[in-house]
Amino acid sequence: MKTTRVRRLLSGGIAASLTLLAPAAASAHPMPGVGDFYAGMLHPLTAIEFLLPMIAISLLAGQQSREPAIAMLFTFPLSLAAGAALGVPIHLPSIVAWINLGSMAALGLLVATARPLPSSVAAGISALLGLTIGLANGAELGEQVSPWRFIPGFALAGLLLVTYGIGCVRRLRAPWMQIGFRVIGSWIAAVGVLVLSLR
Amino acid sequence: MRHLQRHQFTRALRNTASLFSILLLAGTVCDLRAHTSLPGYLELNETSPGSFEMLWRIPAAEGPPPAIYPEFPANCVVPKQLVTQEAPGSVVERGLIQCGPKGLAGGSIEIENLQVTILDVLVRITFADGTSITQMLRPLAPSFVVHKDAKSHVDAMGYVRLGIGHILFGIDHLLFVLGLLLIVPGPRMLLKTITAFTIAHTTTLALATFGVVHLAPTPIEAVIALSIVFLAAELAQHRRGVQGLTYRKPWLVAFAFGLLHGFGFAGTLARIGIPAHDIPLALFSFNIGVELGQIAFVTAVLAFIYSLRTLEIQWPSWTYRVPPYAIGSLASFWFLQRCALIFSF
Repeated sequence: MKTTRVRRLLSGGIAASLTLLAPAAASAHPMPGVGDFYAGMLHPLTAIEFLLPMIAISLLAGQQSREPAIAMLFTFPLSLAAGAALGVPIHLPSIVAWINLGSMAALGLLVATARPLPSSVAAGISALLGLTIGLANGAELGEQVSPWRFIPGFALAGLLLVTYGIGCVRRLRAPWMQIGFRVIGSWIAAVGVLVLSLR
Repeated sequence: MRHLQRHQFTRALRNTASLFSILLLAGTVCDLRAHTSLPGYLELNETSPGSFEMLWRIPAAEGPPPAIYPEFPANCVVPKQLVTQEAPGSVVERGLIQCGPKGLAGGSIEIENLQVTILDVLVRITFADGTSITQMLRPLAPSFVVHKDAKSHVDAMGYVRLGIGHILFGIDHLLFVLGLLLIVPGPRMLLKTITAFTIAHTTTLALATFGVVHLAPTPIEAVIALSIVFLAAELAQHRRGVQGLTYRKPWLVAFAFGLLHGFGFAGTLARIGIPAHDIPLALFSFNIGVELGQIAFVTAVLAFIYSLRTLEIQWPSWTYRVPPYAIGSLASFWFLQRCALIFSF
């Protein structure tokens, strides 16, 4: 399986760079004894099929006008938490993984085109993505990890990421920066298409 | 006048009651505990050639201790059952290791299962001739080969990591800094306040590590929790128009409580047990680590506030009560928990 190797390599790289910052992210999985809260914060950032759609959703939120952006800011972390809570006891249907991979291409394209969306659609997109990423992360929780600490950390990571995305896109108004954000979107879409075609 | 006093009294009572209900909620539902981040510790003292007294401490601040244990070279045996002892926040095992005439030299010491944790383990071996080696083992490098002559000791980076870990995993220090961030207006005053906090905790960290001042760690930890309650109370009162001391002179409050937090940091360093000749290096690097962690946290929070402001959200007035009451409840919970620790030992 080439894809898993690429995935491991990429997530390994991200994990390694995070380890330099916090003496934490050596493995995102069982972390007995210390900070399940931090494990929750780091877990979605250590795999590209979570990290890239989350970056895309944060940039998309930044590109929207005020109301849809606020809607996304609230729905995304809440649906992450809801999804993770639902995901803890169940075995994941494979459709969730497909949605996560597909969302990378779809959201990347939306960011690349910088499309303004109505609030309801923006909220719907972020709720759907939040739920599927939440489900996937919740289902990976081992018995040693306390969901009471993991899920708040997990939702906080989502909230921070979306807020930072909004802040970057709305504060850095220079035209070349705005084009830069759209380029990032197109890269995310490209990675999404690549991973889907390899699967 | 009397009416006013009664009114104030009932208000205070009501506030206390709501605080306690949140507190109970935090305590029972979330099972939130402040974990002081400590590395594991393996000490080996050579009493006679090839024979070592072992002390193995596993941090267990939250629930059961992680299933990590040291693995010695094949020529070493454990002749007697190890003695296990539970201490606050850790489990300690003591015993004897016999490695025959070859000793530990050239052998490999590994901490089993360390790679599935996010713990560091400090290993210190003192040989019969008085020489010693110190090594920090990590999840990504859980073993090392004992070279008696190699002057392997914990490098500066090891202590920097420890400092970063201590501040990022010591949520109590972060909550204190968060309280200051919420109180202090404007970047200049913030710089002044954070600098005062840094100078203060660096001073007491140095004094305590060099042994000039010694204070018992558990009461210090309890008072640190109380310092966060104090900030939370100031925040809550500000909403009612009371300008507390922290609002008037934030740097003074940061300095005063910074002295306490420094003793807290020193407690961590002391419990690891640094070899005497390593103290200046360890102190310096650990402090650098603490500052790096603190800067990262302050940057993250400020970036969050700055980003959020672009949306110009009109928050309902009750939301402004959430941060002070949440911070205050959590800190009060830690205070009670740490007080319980003082009186149970």
